[in-house]
Amino acid sequence: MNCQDVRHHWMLYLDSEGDAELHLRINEHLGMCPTCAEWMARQQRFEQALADRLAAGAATPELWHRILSRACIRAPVTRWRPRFALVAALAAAILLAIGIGLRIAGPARSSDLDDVAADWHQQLLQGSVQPDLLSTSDQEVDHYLKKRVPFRVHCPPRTDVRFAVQGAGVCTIKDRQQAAYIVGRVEEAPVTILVLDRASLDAFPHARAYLQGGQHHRCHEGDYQTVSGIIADNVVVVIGTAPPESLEKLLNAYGSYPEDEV
Amino acid sequence: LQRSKARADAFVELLQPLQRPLEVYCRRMLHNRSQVEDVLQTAVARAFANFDRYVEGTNFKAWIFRLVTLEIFNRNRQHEPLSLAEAAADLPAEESWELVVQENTFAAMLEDPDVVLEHFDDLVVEALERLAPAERAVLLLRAVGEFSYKEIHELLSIPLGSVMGYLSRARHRLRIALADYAAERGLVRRNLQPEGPEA
Repeated sequence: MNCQDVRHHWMLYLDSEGDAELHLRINEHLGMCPTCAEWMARQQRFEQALADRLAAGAATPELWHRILSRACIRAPVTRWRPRFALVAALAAAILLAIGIGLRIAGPARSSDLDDVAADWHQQLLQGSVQPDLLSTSDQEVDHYLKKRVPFRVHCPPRTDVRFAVQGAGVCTIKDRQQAAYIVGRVEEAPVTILVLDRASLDAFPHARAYLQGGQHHRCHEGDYQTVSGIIADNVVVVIGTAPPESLEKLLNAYGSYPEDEV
Repeated sequence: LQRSKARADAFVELLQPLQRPLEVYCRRMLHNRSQVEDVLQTAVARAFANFDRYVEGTNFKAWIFRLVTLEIFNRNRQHEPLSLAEAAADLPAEESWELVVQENTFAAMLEDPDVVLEHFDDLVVEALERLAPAERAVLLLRAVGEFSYKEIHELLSIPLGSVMGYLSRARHRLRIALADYAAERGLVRRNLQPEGPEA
């Protein structure tokens, strides 16, 4: 097989189609020909990025609930009768008051995004995932991430909030959403900062409900505290065992470098 | 009553993991995006009505995607007057499915795809709408549904060669649209030096 043959069959190869012999022969050629290997890698990178974007997007739970209800597959949403409306309103008011009390007295419920952040933080702590970049330089981390994610990211928090950056990386989370993460310490406690494109919030309906009003969301997630919010173009989750006030400071400091300082 | 509930539960169990790709597929395929819910509603109701004929272990995913695809073609008819069968027959027999990548057009874009693709959402609707109906269906069934060529061939009832032809042309046309878009906006510079393979 020569270079032209390889480039003729690139689609079959990348789609894992065609027979085993074709793949074997293309693999042999790619092993011997660095030009074709680089060429094929470029096609693969592009087609994968394109497919990821074509496939991106979240399901709309309300839409599916309506569809299943109308098709009599699931019970429809119960309509309240008018005579129960007053009772229901009173009940809702009581629940709301309890809810407000709980929010003041203790942490709120975790969101779907908090779960993902906690899982990633845990993996980093256990060492089952290593940061792609190990660095104690804010600027190096900033440059590294800006080159590797398809959305705008900002610099790690400044050292004046006592965050010592240790590294960073890029990961893929729910529904093929790409995310950046920054690892470091606050007062010796390990902290992970997960950064997503703001548009990715569509994949996390619970987090979207908490955050879309512009407020920050604090919660307990197992042994960890998380604080999340929308900062400029990003959704940012800060997670660790540090006190929530420290994590909140980190969240507020994210992206506080003027871009020309970096 | 219990049997009916078990049937519904079994259906939902199979449908649930497919809700996201089905909805994304519909959004990308339909000319009129306000019809997404209607299309899914019709296809799901039809699938459930015929669920007794579904044999456990067979390809539920391909079946429901086929129903959704047929409904989409039906709804798109006012924009694209071809049915799926007519669209499938539209592929010139002599056209090769193995379109050669034009390096001189795409080199800069392939070098750093993210530079172009981060602007992709602005372009995707327009670029996909420019594809022929069957090209768009095959491309999205592959990218969103992650179907094999053979599954797409069975799902759309078109020859395997046509699947490859449509997919190749769709990818080629999308690359052209993206490259034009990127060059017009100065995101990449067109490389006019062809990079030929070493024979």
